[in-house]
Amino acid sequence: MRALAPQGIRPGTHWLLVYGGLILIGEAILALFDVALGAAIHAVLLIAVASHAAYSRHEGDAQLSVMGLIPLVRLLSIVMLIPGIAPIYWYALIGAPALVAAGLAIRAMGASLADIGLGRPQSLMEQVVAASIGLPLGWIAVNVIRLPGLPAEGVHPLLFLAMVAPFVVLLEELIFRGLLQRAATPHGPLVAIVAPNLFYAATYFSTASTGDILFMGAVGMLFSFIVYRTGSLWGVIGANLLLRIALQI
Amino acid sequence: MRRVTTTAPEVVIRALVTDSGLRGLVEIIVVICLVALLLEREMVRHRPGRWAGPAGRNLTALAAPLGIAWVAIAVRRFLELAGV
Repeated sequence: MRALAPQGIRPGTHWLLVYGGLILIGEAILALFDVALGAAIHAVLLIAVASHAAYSRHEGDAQLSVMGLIPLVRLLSIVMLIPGIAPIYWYALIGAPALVAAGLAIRAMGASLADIGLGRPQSLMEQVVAASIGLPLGWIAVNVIRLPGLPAEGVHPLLFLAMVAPFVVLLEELIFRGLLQRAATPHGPLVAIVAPNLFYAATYFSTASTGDILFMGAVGMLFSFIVYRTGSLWGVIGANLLLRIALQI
Repeated sequence: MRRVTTTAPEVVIRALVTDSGLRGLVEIIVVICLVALLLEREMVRHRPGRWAGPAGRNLTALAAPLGIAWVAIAVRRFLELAGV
């Protein structure tokens, strides 16, 4: 096992639960009831998590700041779009500043790309096998779950890849299976695999489809398990990309 | 309404695009959030002790994208005012 975790440093479990619960509530309200109220909850959470990480005397609480990335991405996803521009470009508008945030968060944690799982993998074959899981997952998503694709009808395949690979796939894996899983790993394998993917599933609340939410939560946990075992994000980045391509085809 | 599977749910986006008042409200929330983080960053930056450096960097990591969002909001509002 090559877990992505700083040894001996961990945020308080109760704070992970408190902020995690509030993030889930904020997502549910924003997606299902009231956008403005949900956005306000996310904004308050963002400031609360940042303040807590900044002022806490417990060294591990600095890791809590990565939880601020979820409210941040949600706020960006609401305001960083320009009506009149094709929806496929919205992913770049939202994803580019979110990737900046993830990069700065990695720097703030004093972590390297290898610490996050983006270094050279120990076994290339292991990562290729992990990436190939995206094909059966894509088949299930299309034929069983009937998950909808991204709004990219008529978009050139290269443009689709240029938008989706960095701004959807890399961003998701970096935040959920990279940074959040790294912060949760000191709490044990169960928390490391389940906690980040509760948030991941919550980002799909707005689909208003229980099947979609459960499927993506299960996919996230499978990806987390792979990352926990291999210590690398490359395989699940490949698998996630294949899943998106399958949905589009 | 079409559903999408991403961290940028279209349900929310569509709702905001069609409701400029709601969009404006969320934009105000983002700007307040940005100002709060920047103020806090300034307070932390001058704070003595071992936490000042990492804490300031953490706050920068969260404030920087909101700053980018603020610029995007300003540009969009300017274009709307200019009738583009």
